[in-house]
Amino acid sequence: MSDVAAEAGRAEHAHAEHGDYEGAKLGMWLFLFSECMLFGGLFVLYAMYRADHPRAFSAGGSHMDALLGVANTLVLLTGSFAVASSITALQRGRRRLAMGLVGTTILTGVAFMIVKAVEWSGHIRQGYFPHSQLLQGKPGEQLFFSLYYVMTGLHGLHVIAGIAVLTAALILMARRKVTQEHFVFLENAALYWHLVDIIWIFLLPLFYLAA
Amino acid sequence: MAHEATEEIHVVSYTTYTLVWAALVGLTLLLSSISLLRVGGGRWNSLAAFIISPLKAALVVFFFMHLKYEKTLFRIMLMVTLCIIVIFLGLTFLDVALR
Repeated sequence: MSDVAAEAGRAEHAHAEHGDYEGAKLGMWLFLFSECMLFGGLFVLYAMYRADHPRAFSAGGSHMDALLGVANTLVLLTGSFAVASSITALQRGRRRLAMGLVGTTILTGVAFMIVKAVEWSGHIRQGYFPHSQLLQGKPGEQLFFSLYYVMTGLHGLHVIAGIAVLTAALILMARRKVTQEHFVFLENAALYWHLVDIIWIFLLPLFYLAA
Repeated sequence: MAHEATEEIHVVSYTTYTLVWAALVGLTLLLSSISLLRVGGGRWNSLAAFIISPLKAALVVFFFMHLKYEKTLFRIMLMVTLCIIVIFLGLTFLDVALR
């Protein structure tokens, strides 16, 4: 296909997309609300069990490395800041800067997962997991650690998914499919990342600052 | 050619994002110091988490997620979601409390 034909094809494609911008974002928000419900259920479960076993949850919290949790929070917040700024950069036509910022967010996600892996392996090595010898006869702490693995684990899966979506956005930007004029993919990828950030904002006090 | 830039896009400045990020970092450090330094013997721990965490989430939603610049429909949808979660939590608490 000649360049002119390709250009015409792109223009036509863009025309076909007219009016979808609002809808694309609306769809993403609806999906994010369903995610809120998914995590909401787990937060309700946490609240009920904590009300039943306040002392055990506090004891469970004392086995957490709060500083790692706080550090990971700062890492995620910085990632959110970078991806939010990347949209501004792209809208202002600073494509390379925008790509650099998305790359930064991906790196913060990877750093977050590395810290998470260190934490989890430490806890498992020390015997803090459901049905371990150490937690025999401590039902409250078993619940605390079950919820800890399920909630931070599900959140971790979301971080991995977020990294994948942001990588896709980066590739699309490199191929000029996501551009100064068509940035809704990047916006939606960023929305997803921010949701992951928000969930962590609530996980921090529930587990790391529970002591 | 129709594209997103024609639909009245509000470009948020880097300054706004930087201020929001600084506020988020500040609130995180405030919350963790209240908790880890056991301010007031740990009495403020839960209260701080109940106030500061939603505040942080609101900053992310309104600025990073652009809700401040979106149409009212998005805000209504968020309110509906929050109401459902509150009902969910409230009814579950009532169930457990009145068993």
